[in-house]
Amino acid sequence: MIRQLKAIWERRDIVKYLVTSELKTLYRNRALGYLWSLLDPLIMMGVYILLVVVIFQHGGPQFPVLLFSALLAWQWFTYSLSGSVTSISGKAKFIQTVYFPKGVLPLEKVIVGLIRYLLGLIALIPLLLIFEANITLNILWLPVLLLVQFLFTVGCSFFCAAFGVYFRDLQNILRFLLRAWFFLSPALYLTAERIPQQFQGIYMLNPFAALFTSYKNILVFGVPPSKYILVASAIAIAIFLGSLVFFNRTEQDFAKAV
Amino acid sequence: MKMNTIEAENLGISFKASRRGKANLQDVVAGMFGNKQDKAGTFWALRGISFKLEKGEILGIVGRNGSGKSTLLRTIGGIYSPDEGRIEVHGKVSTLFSTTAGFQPELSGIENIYLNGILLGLSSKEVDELLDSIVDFAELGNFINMPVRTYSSGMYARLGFSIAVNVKGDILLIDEILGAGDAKFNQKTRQKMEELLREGRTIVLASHNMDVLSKFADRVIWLDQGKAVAQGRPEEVIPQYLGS
Repeated sequence: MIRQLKAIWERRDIVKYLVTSELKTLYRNRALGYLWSLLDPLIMMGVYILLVVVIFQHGGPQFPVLLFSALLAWQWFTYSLSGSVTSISGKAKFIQTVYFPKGVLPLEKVIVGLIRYLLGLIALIPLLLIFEANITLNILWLPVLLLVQFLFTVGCSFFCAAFGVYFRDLQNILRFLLRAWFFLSPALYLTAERIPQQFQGIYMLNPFAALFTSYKNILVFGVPPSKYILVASAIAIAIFLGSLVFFNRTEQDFAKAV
Repeated sequence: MKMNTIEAENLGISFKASRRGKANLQDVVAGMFGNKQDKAGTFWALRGISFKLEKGEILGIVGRNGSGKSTLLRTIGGIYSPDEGRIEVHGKVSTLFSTTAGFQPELSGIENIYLNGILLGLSSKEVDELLDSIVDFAELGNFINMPVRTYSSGMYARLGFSIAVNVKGDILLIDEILGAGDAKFNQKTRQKMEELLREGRTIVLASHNMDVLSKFADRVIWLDQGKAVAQGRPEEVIPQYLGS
């Protein structure tokens, strides 16, 4: 496992070049260029505001900024997973031409997603001010939450990339899984308001329940992260390590299977 | 230290024939837990291959399409790992197949040279140094700064070939070079290849061109259905192959 991480680290140049070429491909020839990484989550937020605030007449005064702080993180996750699932199977020809550690392919998707997240933060700051967020020192927890999400995302992405080689259907299934996962996580609502007290313990075992709650806590409410972030961290580390073991065992077979 | 040598012993590469060449996850997971059964559905792309290549020697591979030539090259290149026997490769291997597979259509020729060079194992500094010779060799003029999606298929292939011939490792694996462009470019390709063959590198060359093999190879392996039918000096093996 350490050897595997070392192999990826030694070829980090590949990750760097794949990331820059993907960013260029994403934004070149678009009139709005990099603005799209701000517009993507903003437009999504607009759609949900239309649904929740205008049509269902729900959501409090801070609803847009609460939603945005969760949505931004969620888009990082979905970008990584839906990119990873075809990251290896889509590079069949190349994998059969040259040897390199395959882990760089899903890792690159996670990093591009993270860069989009960080660019999206630029849009978050004015939203925090407009909707009168209670900005405190608790905002400094952000890098910790990002690290937890990073480990969890890398783990899930490695699993998706490896399974995606064998089951092309995963690509189709994943779209629905992610959609359901999003609604089961407290992005459009708050756990305390919507989930009955006796189920909250189980509910918060979902790493994104803990993450969304914590993002909202530290960014908008100005309070510390949910205590369930500890559970989420444990799950994230377990998934991360498990995915490395699994990936390592299947990796040498990819060239034959793609 | 044995530098730039290759040693293969009783090498075997198998594919699951369940979906003709496609492995499936059950087999992989079963393999993870150590029960690699030799089921009836196993297709051996290579089996029982042994050879030794010393520094500076050129090994030729002949055989019909589907005989296992590309599989052997890929195994030496580390792309497939052996299911049977062993292979030891000392030295940095570079594969001289056309590398257009990794091109990103939205990126320019120059950007693709960097991306491919890095994927082939160079540092960005090494690509800096090779950039001029790659660009010169490809003869794409101003197109080199345009997105490669605007290229004709001939231009595409030329860029791929130029990257491949200029990125040179200690051990070169060459899959036969098909016509990459117009007659003039093909002429240049042949010259470049002969140049490489004279440089005294360790080379494995799969080819249908018997003249090149007779002229340059120190040894030739004749593959048929994944097995070595004959191996030895080119003047012994090539007539047998042609007579078969």
